[in-house]
Amino acid sequence: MNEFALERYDVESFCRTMQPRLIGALIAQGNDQATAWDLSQEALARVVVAWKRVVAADSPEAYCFRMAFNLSTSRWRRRAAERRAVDRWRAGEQVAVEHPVTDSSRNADLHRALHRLSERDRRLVVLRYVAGLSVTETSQVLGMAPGTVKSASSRALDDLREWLTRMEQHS
Amino acid sequence: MNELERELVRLAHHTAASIDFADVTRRARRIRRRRASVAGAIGASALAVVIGVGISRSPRAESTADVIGPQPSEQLTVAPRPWTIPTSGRDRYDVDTTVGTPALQTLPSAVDTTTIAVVNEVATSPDAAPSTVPLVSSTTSTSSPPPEVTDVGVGLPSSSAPTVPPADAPLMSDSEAIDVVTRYFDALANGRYDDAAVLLGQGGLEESERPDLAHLYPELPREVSRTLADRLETWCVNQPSDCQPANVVAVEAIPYTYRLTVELDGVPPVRAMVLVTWFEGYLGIQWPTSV
Repeated sequence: MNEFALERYDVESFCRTMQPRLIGALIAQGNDQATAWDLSQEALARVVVAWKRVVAADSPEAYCFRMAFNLSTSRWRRRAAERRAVDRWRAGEQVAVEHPVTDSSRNADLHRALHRLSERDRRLVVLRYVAGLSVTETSQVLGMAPGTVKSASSRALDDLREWLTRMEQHS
Repeated sequence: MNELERELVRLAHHTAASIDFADVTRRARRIRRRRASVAGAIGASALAVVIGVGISRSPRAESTADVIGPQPSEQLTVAPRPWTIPTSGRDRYDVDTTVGTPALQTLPSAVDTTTIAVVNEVATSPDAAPSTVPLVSSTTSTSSPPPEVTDVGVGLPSSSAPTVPPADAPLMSDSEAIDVVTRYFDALANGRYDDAAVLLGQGGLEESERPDLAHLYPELPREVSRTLADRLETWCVNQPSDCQPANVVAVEAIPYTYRLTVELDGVPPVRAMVLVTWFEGYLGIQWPTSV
Protein backbone atom coordinates (compact mmCIF):
# COMPACT_ATOMS: atom_id res chain seq x y z
CA MET A 1 0.00 0.00 0.00
CA ASN A 2 1.14 3.53 -0.71
CA GLU A 3 2.88 4.71 2.42
CA PHE A 4 0.94 7.96 2.37
CA ALA A 5 -2.38 6.49 1.30
CA LEU A 6 -3.70 5.90 4.79
CA GLU A 7 -3.90 9.51 5.76
CA ARG A 8 -3.95 10.91 2.32
CA TYR A 9 -7.45 12.28 2.41
CA ASP A 10 -6.84 14.50 5.41
CA VAL A 11 -3.37 15.48 4.30
CA GLU A 12 -4.52 16.29 0.83
CA SER A 13 -7.44 18.42 1.90
CA PHE A 14 -5.20 20.26 4.34
CA CYS A 15 -2.62 20.84 1.61
CA ARG A 16 -5.24 22.03 -0.86
CA THR A 17 -6.55 24.51 1.69
CA MET A 18 -3.15 25.74 2.70
CA GLN A 19 -1.42 26.10 -0.64
CA PRO A 20 -3.05 29.33 -1.89
CA ARG A 21 -2.38 30.98 1.48
CA LEU A 22 1.19 29.76 1.45
CA ILE A 23 1.75 31.07 -2.04
CA GLY A 24 0.18 34.42 -1.20
CA ALA A 25 2.41 34.75 1.84
CA LEU A 26 5.52 33.59 0.00
CA ILE A 27 4.94 36.08 -2.81
CA ALA A 28 4.38 38.85 -0.29
CA GLN A 29 7.60 37.72 1.32
CA GLY A 30 9.43 38.49 -1.91
CA ASN A 31 9.36 35.38 -4.06
CA ASP A 32 8.13 35.30 -7.63
CA GLN A 33 5.04 33.26 -8.42
CA ALA A 34 6.81 30.21 -9.85
CA THR A 35 9.28 30.05 -6.98
CA ALA A 36 6.50 30.57 -4.44
CA TRP A 37 4.57 27.69 -5.99
CA ASP A 38 7.63 25.44 -5.81
CA LEU A 39 8.38 26.43 -2.21
CA SER A 40 4.77 25.75 -1.27
CA GLN A 41 4.98 22.29 -2.86
CA GLU A 42 8.18 21.62 -0.95
CA ALA A 43 6.67 22.85 2.32
CA LEU A 44 3.62 20.70 1.79
CA ALA A 45 5.84 17.69 1.10
CA ARG A 46 7.32 18.28 4.54
CA VAL A 47 3.81 18.49 5.92
CA VAL A 48 3.14 15.06 4.43
CA VAL A 49 6.31 13.64 5.92
CA ALA A 50 5.63 15.14 9.33
CA TRP A 51 1.85 14.84 9.22
CA LYS A 52 1.49 13.34 12.68
CA ARG A 53 3.50 16.15 14.17
CA VAL A 54 1.62 18.72 12.13
CA VAL A 55 -1.80 17.60 13.36
CA ALA A 56 -0.49 17.29 16.90
CA ALA A 57 0.83 20.86 16.88
CA ASP A 58 -1.08 23.62 18.63
CA SER A 59 -1.62 25.22 15.28
CA PRO A 60 -1.07 23.06 12.19
CA GLU A 61 -1.34 26.18 10.06
CA ALA A 62 1.42 27.94 11.97
CA TYR A 63 3.55 24.81 11.69
CA CYS A 64 3.01 24.79 7.94
CA PHE A 65 3.86 28.46 7.55
CA ARG A 66 6.93 27.93 9.67
CA MET A 67 8.11 25.22 7.28
CA ALA A 68 7.45 27.39 4.24
CA PHE A 69 9.21 30.38 5.75
CA ASN A 70 12.19 28.25 6.72
CA LEU A 71 12.46 27.17 3.12
CA SER A 72 12.09 30.71 1.85
CA THR A 73 14.64 32.07 4.31
CA SER A 74 17.30 29.55 3.42
CA ARG A 75 19.14 30.96 0.43
CA TRP A 76 20.18 27.46 -0.54
CA ARG A 77 16.68 26.04 -0.58
CA ARG A 78 15.21 29.13 -2.22
CA ARG A 79 17.82 28.91 -4.93
CA ALA A 80 17.00 25.25 -5.45
CA ALA A 81 13.33 26.20 -5.81
CA GLU A 82 14.23 28.93 -8.30
CA ARG A 83 16.30 26.45 -10.27
CA ARG A 84 13.41 24.00 -10.42
CA ALA A 85 11.07 26.83 -11.45
CA VAL A 86 13.40 27.75 -14.30
CA ASP A 87 13.64 24.09 -15.33
CA ARG A 88 9.86 23.85 -15.43
CA TRP A 89 9.63 27.03 -17.47
CA ARG A 90 12.20 25.67 -19.93
CA ALA A 91 10.26 22.45 -20.18
CA GLY A 92 7.19 24.46 -21.08
CA GLU A 93 5.28 23.60 -17.92
CA GLN A 94 2.88 26.22 -16.70
CA VAL A 95 2.31 26.94 -13.03
CA ALA A 96 -1.18 28.28 -12.58
CA VAL A 97 -1.05 30.91 -9.86
CA GLU A 98 -3.35 33.87 -9.69
CA HIS A 99 -2.28 36.42 -7.18
CA PRO A 100 -4.03 39.72 -6.52
CA VAL A 101 -0.72 41.59 -6.45
CA THR A 102 -0.84 41.69 -10.20
CA ASP A 103 -4.47 42.74 -10.30
CA SER A 104 -4.10 46.44 -9.75
CA SER A 105 -1.58 49.18 -9.32
CA ARG A 106 -2.71 49.55 -5.72
CA ASN A 107 -1.71 45.97 -4.96
CA ALA A 108 1.55 46.45 -6.78
CA ASP A 109 2.23 49.45 -4.54
CA LEU A 110 1.37 47.35 -1.55
CA HIS A 111 3.83 44.75 -2.70
CA ARG A 112 6.57 47.34 -3.20
CA ALA A 113 5.84 48.91 0.18
CA LEU A 114 6.18 45.51 1.85
CA HIS A 115 9.67 45.28 0.44
CA ARG A 116 10.59 48.58 2.03
CA LEU A 117 10.13 47.00 5.43
CA SER A 118 12.90 45.23 7.25
CA GLU A 119 13.07 41.47 6.94
CA ARG A 120 11.64 41.00 10.42
CA ASP A 121 8.83 43.50 9.97
CA ARG A 122 7.91 42.04 6.61
CA ARG A 123 7.70 38.55 8.11
CA LEU A 124 5.53 39.90 10.89
CA VAL A 125 3.13 41.68 8.57
CA VAL A 126 2.97 38.75 6.17
CA LEU A 127 2.28 36.22 8.90
CA ARG A 128 -0.15 38.35 10.85
CA TYR A 129 -2.18 39.85 8.03
CA VAL A 130 -1.43 38.13 4.73
CA ALA A 131 -1.28 34.63 6.20
CA GLY A 132 -3.90 35.52 8.77
CA LEU A 133 -2.19 33.91 11.74
CA SER A 134 -3.15 34.94 15.25
CA VAL A 135 -0.73 36.76 17.55
CA THR A 136 0.00 33.50 19.37
CA GLU A 137 0.59 31.59 16.15
CA THR A 138 2.84 34.33 14.79
CA SER A 139 4.82 34.34 18.01
CA GLN A 140 5.26 30.57 17.68
CA VAL A 141 6.49 30.84 14.11
CA LEU A 142 8.90 33.69 14.75
CA GLY A 143 9.92 32.70 18.25
CA MET A 144 8.92 36.06 19.71
CA ALA A 145 6.89 36.94 22.75
CA PRO A 146 3.23 37.65 21.91
CA GLY A 147 3.59 41.18 23.28
CA THR A 148 6.50 41.82 20.96
CA VAL A 149 4.49 40.53 18.03
CA LYS A 150 1.66 42.92 18.84
CA SER A 151 3.80 46.02 19.26
CA ALA A 152 6.18 45.25 16.40
CA SER A 153 3.43 44.39 13.93
CA SER A 154 1.59 47.56 14.83
CA ARG A 155 4.72 49.61 14.18
CA ALA A 156 5.38 47.70 10.96
CA LEU A 157 1.87 48.43 9.79
CA ASP A 158 2.40 52.14 10.50
CA ASP A 159 5.62 52.04 8.47
CA LEU A 160 3.81 50.27 5.66
CA ARG A 161 1.09 52.89 5.68
CA GLU A 162 3.69 55.64 5.57
CA TRP A 163 5.45 54.05 2.59
CA LEU A 164 2.14 53.74 0.75
CA THR A 165 1.36 57.39 1.42
CA ARG A 166 4.74 58.43 0.08
CA MET A 167 4.22 56.33 -3.04
CA GLU A 168 0.84 57.92 -3.63
CA GLN A 169 2.34 61.38 -3.25
CA HIS A 170 5.08 60.64 -5.77
CA SER A 171 2.82 59.05 -8.34
CA MET B 1 -9.79 45.79 10.92
CA ASN B 2 -8.80 48.83 8.90
CA GLU B 3 -8.57 49.15 5.14
CA LEU B 4 -4.86 48.42 4.93
CA GLU B 5 -5.25 45.21 6.92
CA ARG B 6 -8.10 44.15 4.66
CA GLU B 7 -5.95 44.77 1.60
CA LEU B 8 -3.20 42.61 3.07
CA VAL B 9 -5.62 39.81 3.87
CA ARG B 10 -6.81 39.85 0.26
CA LEU B 11 -3.24 39.21 -0.98
CA ALA B 12 -3.36 35.63 0.26
CA HIS B 13 -7.02 34.85 0.51
CA HIS B 14 -7.67 35.83 -3.07
CA THR B 15 -4.74 33.80 -4.35
CA ALA B 16 -5.67 30.82 -6.49
CA ALA B 17 -3.29 28.02 -7.33
CA SER B 18 -3.43 24.49 -8.57
CA ILE B 19 -1.77 22.02 -6.29
CA ASP B 20 0.13 19.11 -7.81
CA PHE B 21 -0.36 16.60 -5.05
CA ALA B 22 1.43 13.82 -6.93
CA ASP B 23 4.47 16.09 -6.99
CA VAL B 24 4.05 16.77 -3.28
CA THR B 25 4.02 13.04 -2.58
CA ARG B 26 7.09 12.47 -4.75
CA ARG B 27 8.95 15.17 -2.88
CA ALA B 28 7.85 13.69 0.44
CA ARG B 29 9.29 10.32 -0.53
CA ARG B 30 12.53 11.95 -1.59
CA ILE B 31 12.79 13.78 1.72
CA ARG B 32 12.25 10.53 3.61
CA ARG B 33 14.86 8.74 1.55
CA ARG B 34 17.34 11.55 2.05
CA ARG B 35 16.79 11.62 5.79
CA ALA B 36 17.15 7.87 5.98
CA SER B 37 20.41 7.99 4.05
CA VAL B 38 21.77 10.80 6.22
CA ALA B 39 20.86 8.91 9.38
CA GLY B 40 22.54 5.82 7.98
CA ALA B 41 25.67 7.71 7.02
CA ILE B 42 26.03 9.29 10.41
CA GLY B 43 25.26 6.11 12.26
CA ALA B 44 22.99 5.70 15.21
CA SER B 45 25.80 5.43 17.69
CA ALA B 46 27.51 8.59 16.50
CA LEU B 47 24.25 10.50 16.60
CA ALA B 48 23.60 9.26 20.11
CA VAL B 49 27.01 10.49 21.16
CA VAL B 50 26.41 13.88 19.59
CA ILE B 51 23.06 14.22 21.33
CA GLY B 52 24.41 12.96 24.60
CA VAL B 53 27.61 14.92 24.68
CA GLY B 54 26.45 18.12 23.11
CA ILE B 55 29.40 20.27 22.22
CA SER B 56 32.38 18.10 21.61
CA ARG B 57 35.03 18.81 24.11
CA SER B 58 38.51 17.67 24.78
CA PRO B 59 40.02 16.66 28.08
CA ARG B 60 39.59 19.10 30.91
CA ALA B 61 42.32 21.25 32.36
CA GLU B 62 44.19 18.56 34.17
CA SER B 63 44.85 16.66 30.98
CA THR B 64 45.12 19.34 28.30
CA ALA B 65 48.82 19.69 28.90
CA ASP B 66 49.17 16.04 27.97
CA VAL B 67 47.35 16.71 24.74
CA ILE B 68 49.48 19.66 23.69
CA GLY B 69 52.77 18.74 25.22
CA PRO B 70 55.36 21.29 26.33
CA GLN B 71 57.11 22.17 23.07
CA PRO B 72 58.46 25.69 23.54
CA SER B 73 59.86 26.70 20.20
CA GLU B 74 58.49 24.73 17.31
CA GLN B 75 55.75 25.96 15.08
CA LEU B 76 52.79 24.26 13.49
CA THR B 77 52.48 25.07 9.83
CA VAL B 78 49.54 24.27 7.64
CA ALA B 79 50.52 22.77 4.33
CA PRO B 80 49.49 24.71 1.23
CA ARG B 81 46.33 23.34 -0.30
CA PRO B 82 44.34 24.82 -3.16
CA TRP B 83 40.86 25.84 -2.12
CA THR B 84 38.21 25.88 -4.75
CA ILE B 85 34.47 25.79 -4.95
CA PRO B 86 33.24 22.18 -4.98
CA THR B 87 32.92 20.97 -8.53
CA SER B 88 32.47 17.27 -8.03
CA GLY B 89 29.86 15.42 -10.02
CA ARG B 90 27.82 14.91 -6.92
CA ASP B 91 24.62 16.91 -6.62
CA ARG B 92 25.66 19.96 -4.65
CA TYR B 93 22.29 19.98 -2.95
CA ASP B 94 22.94 16.62 -1.31
CA VAL B 95 24.04 16.59 2.27
CA ASP B 96 27.80 16.34 2.43
CA THR B 97 28.36 13.86 5.19
CA THR B 98 32.12 14.13 4.76
CA VAL B 99 32.02 17.44 6.60
CA GLY B 100 31.58 15.59 9.84
CA THR B 101 34.96 15.05 11.40
CA PRO B 102 36.25 13.45 14.54
CA ALA B 103 35.17 15.64 17.36
CA LEU B 104 38.20 15.61 19.52
CA GLN B 105 41.17 17.40 18.10
CA THR B 106 44.26 15.84 19.51
CA LEU B 107 46.96 18.28 18.61
CA PRO B 108 50.26 16.91 17.37
CA SER B 109 52.91 16.75 20.01
CA ALA B 110 55.08 19.24 18.16
CA VAL B 111 52.70 22.10 18.78
CA ASP B 112 54.16 25.26 20.20
CA THR B 113 52.51 26.24 23.46
CA THR B 114 53.22 29.92 23.07
CA THR B 115 52.65 30.68 19.42
CA ILE B 116 51.26 28.78 16.51
CA ALA B 117 52.09 29.88 13.03
CA VAL B 118 49.30 29.94 10.53
CA VAL B 119 50.18 29.84 6.88
CA ASN B 120 47.59 30.70 4.32
CA GLU B 121 46.73 27.89 1.96
CA VAL B 122 47.13 29.72 -1.28
CA ALA B 123 50.51 31.14 -2.08
CA THR B 124 49.06 33.90 -4.23
CA SER B 125 47.00 35.25 -1.38
CA PRO B 126 48.13 38.60 0.06
CA ASP B 127 48.23 37.11 3.53
CA ALA B 128 50.59 34.33 2.66
CA ALA B 129 53.05 35.37 5.33
CA PRO B 130 52.85 33.38 8.53
CA SER B 131 51.13 35.01 11.40
CA THR B 132 50.83 34.14 15.03
CA VAL B 133 47.98 33.38 17.33
CA PRO B 134 48.98 33.56 20.98
CA LEU B 135 48.01 30.50 22.88
CA VAL B 136 46.57 30.98 26.31
CA SER B 137 47.66 28.19 28.55
CA SER B 138 44.87 26.23 30.12
CA THR B 139 46.29 26.98 33.54
CA THR B 140 46.29 30.75 33.07
CA SER B 141 43.44 31.34 30.69
CA THR B 142 41.00 32.64 33.27
CA SER B 143 43.17 35.61 34.11
CA SER B 144 44.75 36.21 30.73
CA PRO B 145 43.77 39.05 28.43
CA PRO B 146 41.86 38.21 25.27
CA PRO B 147 44.00 36.68 22.53
CA GLU B 148 45.55 38.98 20.02
CA VAL B 149 45.20 37.77 16.49
CA THR B 150 47.91 39.30 14.38
CA ASP B 151 47.04 37.69 11.10
CA VAL B 152 46.87 40.45 8.51
CA GLY B 153 44.74 38.55 6.07
CA VAL B 154 42.61 40.42 3.62
CA GLY B 155 39.80 38.93 1.66
CA LEU B 156 36.07 38.67 1.68
CA PRO B 157 34.79 40.20 4.90
CA SER B 158 32.32 37.91 6.54
CA SER B 159 29.77 40.70 6.69
CA SER B 160 30.01 41.68 3.06
CA ALA B 161 27.48 40.91 0.39
CA PRO B 162 27.56 37.38 -0.97
CA THR B 163 29.78 36.94 -3.97
CA VAL B 164 31.03 33.90 -5.77
CA PRO B 165 34.82 33.96 -5.86
CA PRO B 166 36.77 32.70 -8.86
CA ALA B 167 37.27 28.97 -8.91
CA ASP B 168 40.90 29.22 -7.87
CA ALA B 169 40.35 31.78 -5.10
CA PRO B 170 40.56 30.83 -1.43
CA LEU B 171 37.17 30.57 0.18
CA MET B 172 38.35 32.44 3.25
CA SER B 173 41.53 33.54 4.91
CA ASP B 174 42.90 32.36 8.23
CA SER B 175 42.09 35.68 9.82
CA GLU B 176 38.48 35.48 8.66
CA ALA B 177 38.08 31.98 10.05
CA ILE B 178 39.55 33.06 13.37
CA ASP B 179 37.43 36.19 13.37
CA VAL B 180 34.23 34.21 12.82
CA VAL B 181 34.96 31.86 15.70
CA THR B 182 35.97 34.70 18.00
CA ARG B 183 32.84 36.68 17.15
CA TYR B 184 30.66 33.63 17.70
CA PHE B 185 31.94 32.92 21.19
CA ASP B 186 32.00 36.59 22.11
CA ALA B 187 28.36 36.83 21.10
CA LEU B 188 27.48 33.81 23.24
CA ALA B 189 29.47 35.08 26.20
CA ASN B 190 27.77 38.46 26.02
CA GLY B 191 24.27 37.11 25.56
CA ARG B 192 23.95 38.24 21.95
CA TYR B 193 22.30 35.00 20.90
CA ASP B 194 20.79 36.48 17.75
CA ASP B 195 24.26 37.33 16.46
CA ALA B 196 25.57 33.89 17.36
CA ALA B 197 22.55 32.25 15.73
CA VAL B 198 23.26 34.09 12.48
CA LEU B 199 26.75 32.57 12.36
CA LEU B 200 25.56 29.16 13.46
CA GLY B 201 22.61 29.15 11.09
CA GLN B 202 24.58 29.66 7.88
CA GLY B 203 24.50 26.88 5.35
CA GLY B 204 22.02 24.96 3.34
CA LEU B 205 20.30 22.78 5.89
CA GLU B 206 17.57 23.91 8.19
CA GLU B 207 18.78 24.18 11.73
CA SER B 208 16.45 21.49 13.01
CA GLU B 209 17.87 19.09 10.43
CA ARG B 210 21.53 19.65 11.17
CA PRO B 211 23.12 16.78 13.08
CA ASP B 212 25.69 19.10 14.59
CA LEU B 213 22.93 21.10 16.28
CA ALA B 214 21.15 18.04 17.65
CA HIS B 215 22.21 18.99 21.16
CA LEU B 216 20.14 22.15 20.80
CA TYR B 217 17.10 20.09 19.77
CA PRO B 218 16.86 17.50 22.53
CA GLU B 219 13.15 16.91 22.10
CA LEU B 220 12.09 14.20 19.71
CA PRO B 221 10.44 14.69 17.38
CA ARG B 222 12.18 17.99 16.93
CA GLU B 223 9.90 20.86 17.56
CA VAL B 224 10.75 23.85 15.42
CA SER B 225 8.69 26.64 16.89
CA ARG B 226 11.61 28.03 18.91
CA THR B 227 14.31 29.98 17.20
CA LEU B 228 17.93 29.01 17.16
CA ALA B 229 18.75 32.05 19.29
CA ASP B 230 16.31 30.87 21.96
CA ARG B 231 17.87 27.46 21.94
CA LEU B 232 21.35 28.91 22.23
CA GLU B 233 20.22 30.95 25.19
CA THR B 234 18.80 27.87 26.90
CA TRP B 235 21.97 25.94 26.15
CA CYS B 236 24.18 28.67 27.55
CA VAL B 237 22.10 28.90 30.71
CA ASN B 238 22.52 25.17 31.25
CA GLN B 239 26.09 24.90 29.99
CA PRO B 240 27.72 28.25 30.78
CA SER B 241 31.18 26.79 30.38
CA ASP B 242 30.47 26.24 26.67
CA CYS B 243 29.62 29.89 26.13
CA GLN B 244 32.79 31.67 27.13
CA PRO B 245 35.08 33.84 25.04
CA ALA B 246 37.35 31.60 23.03
CA ASN B 247 41.04 31.65 22.33
CA VAL B 248 41.98 30.10 19.04
CA VAL B 249 44.63 27.52 19.64
CA ALA B 250 45.14 25.97 16.24
CA VAL B 251 43.92 26.38 12.70
CA GLU B 252 43.84 23.65 10.12
CA ALA B 253 42.56 23.61 6.59
CA ILE B 254 40.39 20.74 5.46
CA PRO B 255 38.59 20.76 2.14
CA TYR B 256 36.17 23.67 1.88
CA THR B 257 36.35 24.24 5.61
CA TYR B 258 38.63 25.53 8.31
CA ARG B 259 38.97 23.45 11.43
CA LEU B 260 39.87 25.45 14.50
CA THR B 261 40.71 24.25 17.93
CA VAL B 262 39.56 26.70 20.55
CA GLU B 263 39.98 26.97 24.24
CA LEU B 264 37.07 28.44 26.11
CA ASP B 265 37.71 30.53 29.18
CA GLY B 266 36.18 29.25 32.33
CA VAL B 267 37.04 27.11 35.27
CA PRO B 268 38.23 24.70 34.17
CA PRO B 269 38.90 25.76 30.58
CA VAL B 270 37.28 23.69 27.86
CA ARG B 271 38.96 22.76 24.65
CA ALA B 272 36.77 22.12 21.63
CA MET B 273 36.92 21.90 17.90
CA VAL B 274 34.91 24.17 15.64
CA LEU B 275 34.47 24.25 11.88
CA VAL B 276 34.23 27.47 9.92
CA THR B 277 32.43 26.87 6.66
CA TRP B 278 31.86 28.89 3.53
CA PHE B 279 28.42 28.87 1.98
CA GLU B 280 27.47 31.16 -0.88
CA GLY B 281 29.81 33.86 0.32
CA TYR B 282 28.83 33.67 3.96
CA LEU B 283 31.07 32.26 6.66
CA GLY B 284 29.42 30.22 9.36
CA ILE B 285 30.05 27.98 12.32
CA GLN B 286 29.54 24.24 12.45
CA TRP B 287 30.28 21.70 15.10
CA PRO B 288 31.82 18.37 14.21
CA THR B 289 29.12 15.80 13.67
CA SER B 290 30.79 12.51 14.48
CA VAL B 291 33.34 11.16 16.88
